[in-house]
Amino acid sequence: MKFFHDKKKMRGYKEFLYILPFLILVLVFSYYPLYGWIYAFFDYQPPLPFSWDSFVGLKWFKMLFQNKSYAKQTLQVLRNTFAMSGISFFFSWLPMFFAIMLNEVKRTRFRKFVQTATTLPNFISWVLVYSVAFLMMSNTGLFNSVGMGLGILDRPIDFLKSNEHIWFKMWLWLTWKNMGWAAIIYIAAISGIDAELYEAAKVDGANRRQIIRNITLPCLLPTFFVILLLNISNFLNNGMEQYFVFQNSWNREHIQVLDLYVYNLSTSKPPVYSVSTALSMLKSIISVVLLLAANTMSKLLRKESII
Amino acid sequence: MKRKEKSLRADRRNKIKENSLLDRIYDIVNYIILFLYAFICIYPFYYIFINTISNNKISESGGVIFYPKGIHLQNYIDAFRIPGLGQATLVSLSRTVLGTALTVVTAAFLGYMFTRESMFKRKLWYRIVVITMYFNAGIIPWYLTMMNLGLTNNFLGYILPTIISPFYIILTKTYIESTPKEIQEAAECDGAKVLTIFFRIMLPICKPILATVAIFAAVGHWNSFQDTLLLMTQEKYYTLQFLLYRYLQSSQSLSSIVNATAGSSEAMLANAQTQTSIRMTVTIIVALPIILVYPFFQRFFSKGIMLGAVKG
Amino acid sequence: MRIKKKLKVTIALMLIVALFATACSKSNQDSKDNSSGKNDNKVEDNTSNELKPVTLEVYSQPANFQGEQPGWTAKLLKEKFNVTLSIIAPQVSGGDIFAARSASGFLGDIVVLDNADIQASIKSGLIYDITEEMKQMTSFNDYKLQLDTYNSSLDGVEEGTYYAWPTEMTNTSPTTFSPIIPGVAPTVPWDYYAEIGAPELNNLNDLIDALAAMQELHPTNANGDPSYGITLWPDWDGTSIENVNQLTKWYGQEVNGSVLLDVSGNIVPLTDDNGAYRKILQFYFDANQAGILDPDSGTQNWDSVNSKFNSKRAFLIWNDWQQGFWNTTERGNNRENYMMVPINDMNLYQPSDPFFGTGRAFAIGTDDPVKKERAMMVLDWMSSPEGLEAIHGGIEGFTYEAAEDGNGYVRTAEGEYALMDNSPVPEEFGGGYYADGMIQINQWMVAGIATNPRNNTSYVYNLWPAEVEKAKTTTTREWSERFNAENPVDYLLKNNKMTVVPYVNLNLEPDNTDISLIRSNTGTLICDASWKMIFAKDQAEFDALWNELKEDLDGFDWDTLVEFDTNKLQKVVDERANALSSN
Repeated sequence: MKFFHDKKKMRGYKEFLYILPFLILVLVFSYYPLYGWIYAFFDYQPPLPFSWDSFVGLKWFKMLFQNKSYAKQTLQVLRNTFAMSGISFFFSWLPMFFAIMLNEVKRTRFRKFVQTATTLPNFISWVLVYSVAFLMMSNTGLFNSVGMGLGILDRPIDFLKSNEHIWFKMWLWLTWKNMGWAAIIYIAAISGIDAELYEAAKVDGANRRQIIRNITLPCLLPTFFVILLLNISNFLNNGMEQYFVFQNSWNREHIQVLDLYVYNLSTSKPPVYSVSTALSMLKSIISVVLLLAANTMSKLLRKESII
Repeated sequence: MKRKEKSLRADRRNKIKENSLLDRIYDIVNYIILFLYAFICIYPFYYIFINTISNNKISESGGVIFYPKGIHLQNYIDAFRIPGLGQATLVSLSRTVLGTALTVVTAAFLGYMFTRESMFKRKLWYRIVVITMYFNAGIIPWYLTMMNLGLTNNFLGYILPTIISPFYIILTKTYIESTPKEIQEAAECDGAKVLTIFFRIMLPICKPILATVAIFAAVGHWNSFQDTLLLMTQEKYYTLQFLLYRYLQSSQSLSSIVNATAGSSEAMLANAQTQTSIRMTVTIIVALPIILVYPFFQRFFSKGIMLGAVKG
Repeated sequence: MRIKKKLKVTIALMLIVALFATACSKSNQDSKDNSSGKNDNKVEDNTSNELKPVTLEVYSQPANFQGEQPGWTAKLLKEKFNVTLSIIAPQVSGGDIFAARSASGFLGDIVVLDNADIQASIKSGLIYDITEEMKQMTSFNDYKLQLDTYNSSLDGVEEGTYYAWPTEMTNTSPTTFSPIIPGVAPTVPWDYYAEIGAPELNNLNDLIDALAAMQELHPTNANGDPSYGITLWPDWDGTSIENVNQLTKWYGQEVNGSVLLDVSGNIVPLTDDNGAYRKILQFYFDANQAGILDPDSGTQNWDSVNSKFNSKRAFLIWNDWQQGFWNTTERGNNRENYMMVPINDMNLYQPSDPFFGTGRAFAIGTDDPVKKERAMMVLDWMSSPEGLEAIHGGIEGFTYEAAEDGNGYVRTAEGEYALMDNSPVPEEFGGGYYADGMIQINQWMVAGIATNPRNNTSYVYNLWPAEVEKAKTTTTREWSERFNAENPVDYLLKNNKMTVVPYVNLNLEPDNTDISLIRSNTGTLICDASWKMIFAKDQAEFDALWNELKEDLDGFDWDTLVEFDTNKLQKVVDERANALSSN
């Protein structure tokens, strides 16, 4: 009995040793640089050297709410961020749904064609997306010219200046660009499902809907929940580039998400390095908290921990 | 007995008939939706492509929509004239191949190791690795760390920091957990050691997810240039993306310098570069290799990999 | 089967290793070839045998290029000093690189920084004392006054020491203005202007009427694309709309951060109801009401605007360099060029020649003796007449040659198109391409308009006597007749429509983090409100937005910022008064 116990423990340690080199890499590249978070508590102005005198404590964190105007702006930014992330979260099943639909296509060539085609938007940078969007939607762009030519419009519509439904429009652009790429994960997962399960189900007379509901979906759910969990923890991170290229003076109040707000601050001259460090530190901490919270919820609801 | 069988068979036949009609409708609707979506994904890419081979002036004013006008290849010729392109392509290729290979193996290995419940404090290490996804310590400490490790102006600076990617590890771990445990247990019963199981059994089983990780990692390496900007000052380490990015940037300043001089030839102006036309050309140059390589990965997504794995 | 598989894996691995190896080794061979562009030419080793090859890292704030200097300039530097320049450009790699490199203790062997950063770098030990070396520079005595003024204004340095060389100084004077075209002035197509009767323009409303008349006669350009009187773009906006900032100079005021500076030295906040900023916003608003403002103005980027200027789809331009988009000699003789038309109530705020420098400086960031010495050699050449001729003029024998009458230089036929076309440069001069081969630090030690002591003309071509003659076309002749002057600057000075304000180069107080935050937040408010005002439905909305802006600014500590800027710029005002009185 003792021998067996020791053997297992030995194996446990051995396995740990196997991953130790990788853990060291992680420590060196991800944990060690965190000492840089200390800049968030000081008033650091490069190129002047860092000095302990410039300690300001939680000043940059409090700045966001220091007076009515700042608070208003911060709340507006957070509102935008939550709205964008909320819509994405609500529709996070789309890539999975798309992968399933794709899987239902029997003709291999058509399937591969659609799959490759839908990954193309991922390679077009947001800057270029805006250039193309501008060519289509400007006052002299494609939509307006065609509309005027056909007599549907008598004045060009200024699509880009519109302040309405910004969140929905941005979500549409985001889905167009990302869905095909994100679906790859689900496509891979589907191809890992034991084909015998399908055979057995067909023999039992299951129709398409039943197959999807009872086989495909349950096999994809673990992957889906992991992705969902990651999306929850990324709630505050929308990325900057998309909103940066589409922003202008008319839609700014709805389009400026947290990442863009931080970027706009950090491009001031001279760059306020301490402030951007403080904000990014805040985001990191909140993301980790969200991750652990969502994981706990999953443990409670589904009796399964995701990480 | 016979009657029951007969009615069962009849039932099934009816069901199949019903299914066929619904099936067909479903199929058609499926095809249409997928085709439409594929179309709106391809069209912008096609639009960009025809604009890069059209007369730049017509292209700028938005005149090129469905087919190219004034076809010329000058945009590409100018891009291929960039000095150092050959070396940069080699650097990009090496980095992509080596980096992807290492990332895939690491993700697979760590993903597998983290599923082994016997590991000493498994959950703790897993969480330690995963939460680094959200860390961003800022550029100063990162740059200083790289400098202190000697990774500036060093090819390894492209590779080492990217080997461990929590996202890919999560993907492979989730995938492995959804495979039947019997396979691993059977191998262990046969006396196989951890590494043997990994190379002989897990890697082949995980082909789809490894292909996914490979695609993501490869595209990541191929497209990245931020690390070149910050770490490398010597020409020999420049990547393709960096050269193209620099080409794009300097065209902007060129157009402002150029406009400060009087005297220009109109014919050249018609095919002269604007930032947008350069951006489009660069996008095509960078995306084309990936699109050509992609089908090679697609064959990993065919079903039947897991066929009979448990039974055998 | 298994063997085949193992074979495949082994081959793959070998390929990877081979790629890796070639990537690192080919590099050594390539780095020599790279300095002269893609052409495989062997650089003649004329270098003096004592000088070892040295690579100097140049950290340059205005540079748009990152990497090793290519082309004909690289050849010159290699031949003379066996030096390769490796340029680091924050504009390319992101502003954070400044923080990162300064934290590491090494910015660059040569640095080109804003005055404030020069000052801070001295304090942090990133740039070094070069008193002895500077005194031995070729052009030291020509610019001694300016060098003394600049270096003595630096804090924390001993008297009589030299740390930096201000960029783009001239040897003319602090009160002259050398070019023949003003920096900013209303400029329209000459043929269209003549077509509507070459009317007298008394104020901005007359200008709008004139542009409207032009637009009615020419609603599209020759290709059929719609054209407008005025087109604007938002991508150059900083803490206020750049397109407005430039035009405030028509009325004697210059935007500087949160305040307006005028020709007599008064400082008022940007939000002053009678200030030029509001006046120009009103102008653009009226233009929009009159239908002559491009509706895409608020959302397009510079790229689109570029193509509009190239194809005569916008009638009003203002910066001197914008004339390069359309004006050519050929078009000039067809009367199609853009020319300045004066507005009678304007008073151009024109900074003089940058006698004292333009606000940045060159310095040395290394104390390694070999590198320091070599860097000084490069700086010496860059500020010597010989070096400046190359930097501003190009390649003798290729882009320019001696003029027929012996008075200075003239551009060759290739020279006129070399920059525009990025022409290939012949092997003997270094190969590569002309524009790519120009010095990519993107800043000069002496301005092009300074006088070349070797031939008493300017370094830059457009003031060479031979070139000025060449530039005279039908358009300029008709223009001179109509306005009774040699050239625009001549007219403006004769009729008192321009005030030359001395260009002073001072080390002003940098923003601290708090001020920086205020500036950033208020800047966004101002830009957004300004654009909305330009496109407001009616005058009532325009006024309401202006008042709302002022209220919103208060919430972000606007007054503190205005006070800070006012105190900061008072020094400039005083220095200007000084310069005027001493001349």
